[in-house]
Amino acid sequence: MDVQLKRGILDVCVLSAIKTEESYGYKIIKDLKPYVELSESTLYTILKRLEESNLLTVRSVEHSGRLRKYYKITKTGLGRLKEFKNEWRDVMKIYEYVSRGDNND
Amino acid sequence: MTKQDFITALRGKLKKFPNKEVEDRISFYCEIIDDSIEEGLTEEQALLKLGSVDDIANQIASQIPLRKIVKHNVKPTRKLKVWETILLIVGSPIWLSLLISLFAVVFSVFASLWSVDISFWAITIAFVVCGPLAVILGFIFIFVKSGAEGFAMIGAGLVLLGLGILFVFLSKLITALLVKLTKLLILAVKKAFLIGGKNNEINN
Repeated sequence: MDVQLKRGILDVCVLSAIKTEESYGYKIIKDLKPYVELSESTLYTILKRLEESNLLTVRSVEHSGRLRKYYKITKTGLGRLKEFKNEWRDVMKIYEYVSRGDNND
Repeated sequence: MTKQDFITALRGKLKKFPNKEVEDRISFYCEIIDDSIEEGLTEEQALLKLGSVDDIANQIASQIPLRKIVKHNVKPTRKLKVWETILLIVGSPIWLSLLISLFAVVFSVFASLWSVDISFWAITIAFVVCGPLAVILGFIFIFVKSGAEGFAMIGAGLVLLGLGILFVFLSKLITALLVKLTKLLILAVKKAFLIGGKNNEINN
């Protein structure tokens, strides 16, 4: 995927991974694997940035004798996802237009 | 390599970096390693998936803001002994002036590079402003002076405008290159704080 495109989309990907229920680092990477390859360091930066922008909250939960950080989406985060869907509705229309008449190639 | 060895090696490389930032990241990686193991990977497989100690150290180093790194290293980590303090004061004409000259050299190199950039933009603005002005003046000349002088002025104005457009592209290019150079330099300075080992490419 184009580097610039990827960078803009990764924030939204991570938010999506925690859209329906809160999740933790390893699980987020695993859930996103079919869609995008996310390195641990990239995820760390994204999560920090999203937290600073109040798009998610963090809490520590005890699990098997260690602490695990759970990330939960906020109302603002859900708003960002909605924004993304609206932006891309237009892109989808353009995609349809570009692909019109093509046989799958 | 065990997880503990990995973490210890990582901490060792990042000794000169702000503790809070380093530990925050290390616990993040630890959590992921533990979860990978819980999902069935062996410790070795989990570490392999993460990357080498150098890779992770480089990544962490590049992500921490330079000013935090410098601040952390400028603050004295232990109280100075009396003789150390005396030595510092006595030797200050030497080390202080050396330090100042070093900063002065680095600063002046950067200042000259950026002033080249500023000059390009100044030229660009000059062309872009004067071009249309000359064209307008030319139209005025046609009526006030003569057709020949008027058209000559309009022509000159269009040339200036053309040069202005060219210089916009040049200035943008130079600025982009300079920004890239500055980023590379900052990264190089950050990596200079890493302890031991060869510098590796950073995978982003």
